[in-house]
Amino acid sequence: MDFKINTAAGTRSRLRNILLFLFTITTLLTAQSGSKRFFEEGNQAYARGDYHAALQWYQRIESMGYESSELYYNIGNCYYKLDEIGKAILYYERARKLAPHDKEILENLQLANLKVADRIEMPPRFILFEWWDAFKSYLTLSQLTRLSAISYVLFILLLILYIFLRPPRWRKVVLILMITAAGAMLITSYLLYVNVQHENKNKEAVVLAPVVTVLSAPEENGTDVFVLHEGVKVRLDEQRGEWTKISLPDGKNGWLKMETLGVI
Amino acid sequence: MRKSYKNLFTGLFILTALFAGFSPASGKDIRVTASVNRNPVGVNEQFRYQLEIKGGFQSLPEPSLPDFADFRIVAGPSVSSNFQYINGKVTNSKTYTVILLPRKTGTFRIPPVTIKYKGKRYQSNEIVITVTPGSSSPGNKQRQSRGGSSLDVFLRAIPSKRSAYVNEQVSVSYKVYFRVNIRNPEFVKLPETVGFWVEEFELPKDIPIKQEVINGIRYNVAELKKLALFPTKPGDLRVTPMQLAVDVVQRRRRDPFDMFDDFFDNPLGRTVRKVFTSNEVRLKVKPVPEQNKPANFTGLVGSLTLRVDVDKTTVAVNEAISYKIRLTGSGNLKSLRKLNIEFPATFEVFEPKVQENVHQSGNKLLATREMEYVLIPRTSGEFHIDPLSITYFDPGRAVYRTITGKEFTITVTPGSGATNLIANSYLPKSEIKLLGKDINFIKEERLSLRPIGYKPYHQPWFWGSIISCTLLLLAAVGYRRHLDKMATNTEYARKRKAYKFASARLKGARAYLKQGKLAEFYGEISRGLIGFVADKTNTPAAGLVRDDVEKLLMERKIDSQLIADYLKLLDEADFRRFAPGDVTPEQATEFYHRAETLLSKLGKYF
Repeated sequence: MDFKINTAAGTRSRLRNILLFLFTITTLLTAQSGSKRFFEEGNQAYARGDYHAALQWYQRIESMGYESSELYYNIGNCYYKLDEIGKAILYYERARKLAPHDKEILENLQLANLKVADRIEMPPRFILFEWWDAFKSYLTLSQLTRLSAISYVLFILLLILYIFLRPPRWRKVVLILMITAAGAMLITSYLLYVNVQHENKNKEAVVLAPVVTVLSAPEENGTDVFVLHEGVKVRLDEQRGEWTKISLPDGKNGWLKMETLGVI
Repeated sequence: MRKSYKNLFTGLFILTALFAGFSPASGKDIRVTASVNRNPVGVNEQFRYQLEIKGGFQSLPEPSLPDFADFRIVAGPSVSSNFQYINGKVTNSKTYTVILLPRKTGTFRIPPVTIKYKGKRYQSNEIVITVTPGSSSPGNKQRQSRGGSSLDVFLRAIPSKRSAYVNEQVSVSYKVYFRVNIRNPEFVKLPETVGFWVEEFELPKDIPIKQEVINGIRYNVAELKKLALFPTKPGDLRVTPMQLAVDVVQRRRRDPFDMFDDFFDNPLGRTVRKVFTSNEVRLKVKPVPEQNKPANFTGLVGSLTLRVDVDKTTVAVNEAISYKIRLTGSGNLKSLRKLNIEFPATFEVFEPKVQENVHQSGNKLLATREMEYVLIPRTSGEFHIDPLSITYFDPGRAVYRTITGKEFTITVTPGSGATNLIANSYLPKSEIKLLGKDINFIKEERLSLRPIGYKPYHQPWFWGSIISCTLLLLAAVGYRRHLDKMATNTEYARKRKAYKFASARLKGARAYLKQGKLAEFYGEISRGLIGFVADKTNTPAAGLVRDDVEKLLMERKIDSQLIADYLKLLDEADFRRFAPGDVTPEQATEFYHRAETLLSKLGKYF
């Protein structure tokens, strides 16, 4: 190893590595600060009432590959002000996915939904299912992962402690703590599993076209089943080519072209 | 100036003279019609020549009858007149009748008769009569021919054209010609229109009876059926004949003065029910030309007019607009496929209300189709509805034409804020009080960006912590078991500690060496060597002699050379502990190292 550093070629490659490192660091830092600047510019444009400009600033951040509930919420506001209700609802839903209990997001989403032409009848659900749903989605995905990891680590450490501890009184205490940690770990990891499954399986989308006709089959001349307007949230069940099968909470289902929808 | 007036006057004069002079029957005022009752006629048969002058005047002029040079006048001329005054309308008619007998066979011409009345000339038709050798066939034969056996009744199918394009309207008129009384007509067989789309003309309930002269013989004509046919494919298409059954009042043949037959029912005539068959209709159908055929050709052939209207051009969001299309033409509108109209994307379009009706114009059926679309704009702005174009084929000029309706610009006003919400909404109370409320302001702090598609459960820290903890646990369990074994299992404990103890002993020996206590040095080494094997094999060290050790080592199948080395060392140690002699420190140290190496080698076998 000593030999390598001392040769001329070695010196050059080392120099190159240092430069590469510095470059990556600076780009990362500037990227971060750049996005912050875009966000601020967007906010100022929105405050001025220039919603188109605000959108452009926000969308630059999005195109950089970043997201956040605040960003999506602001974008949703812009679309709402521009009377593009479908896109507004789409972005509010995306914001809600990242921050499920944010009051402002929920209120704006509720207002935006008032402007949707279709009233979907939510079938009444068994109260226990409602509670279970609320419980399941109380914590965000990242909160659940963190909690399950922490409880697992705690559990392991306590277990190790339990193995090596001799005095019975201490052992009892540790045992109780261990069982609690195990319980927490099981619950959180189960919830984590359920939420991950839900996220991967339940794709939802919002209708973006002003009016669409839902067909009975994935082809142009299928029979018309019903009509949907901009802003309706649908669940995506199947995909075939450029068509996707959607279903509504009241049970109605049919086929739509993917291009008329925005996936949440 | 005078010259131009003179020219105009001359022109007018010539025109009037032309009209007056050459009108055979000037239609409006006086009609002169010549007819015979049999054609052809047998050389020995008498026939009747009649000249009818019909007009709207009180008095009619006297005609000069033709010179019947080729015939012999048997009786006449006799005159009968008929005067009608109905609802203020005067119809005056005089009929001159002559009974003639042919002189010889052949084809003869009876020239037209001209009369003059009030400065106008009126001319009748001429008659070409054929005199056959025998007697002519009786009038009631069913066979029909062009040369004309003088039938009493026959049926004709008359098409408006002999050739047409695919989908072009052709009308076929079914007329019954009769010069005897017929009653109770009934369709026995309707024409088969294979290869055509058919629409039927609606004929008046009281069928009017007109008069025509065919082959010089005057017939009554009634139109019983009229069809509008649209050929669906090219080629030679045929419409099968129609069959009609009627009661025919047969004439009495013996009466030479049978001029009265046409005027009243002969109570002595028999009524026979007979079936008459028309001619078939042959139509040559051409396909529309492929050359210059536009891509959006609708398939319509004929005439077409188009009218497009909207009821308002300025509306508020969610208010309805009526877009009406009116198509009229002689083409087959029923074959028109759905019209592709592109309305603005944010207009909600409802299925159109379609109304169709048909009326007759001359010899054609004109169909009108009205389509009313209801449009509801859902967003505000200025929108264009492109003009509607329909391409059809004009068979008269043999060209394709496109007819275009108007284009419209619709201005949609946003309406008040409340109407932006849905017009037909029945919102629950909780939502009604939210109407008009503005959205919350944007978020300005704590941007907390993350890469899109970030999955927290895929992060390295998550899996890292889990895996390292698990490994830690396994290590801890292993260690615990080790400790327990050490505490409970002597054999295990001794075995694990063997090297440690042996090394300790060697260290002790070294200490003795430093102090110069050679006997003790060798003693410790000996004990170390034996103790190592004893620990490793879990044998009590006390009382373990050299030979026992050898046995133990050999039981373990240890390399024989190693055993030999070991025994050599052991023997030397045992010897020297009691008789150290003059061993140099270097020799002793060397011995020490040999013992160390041996132990580590030996350790590999246990």
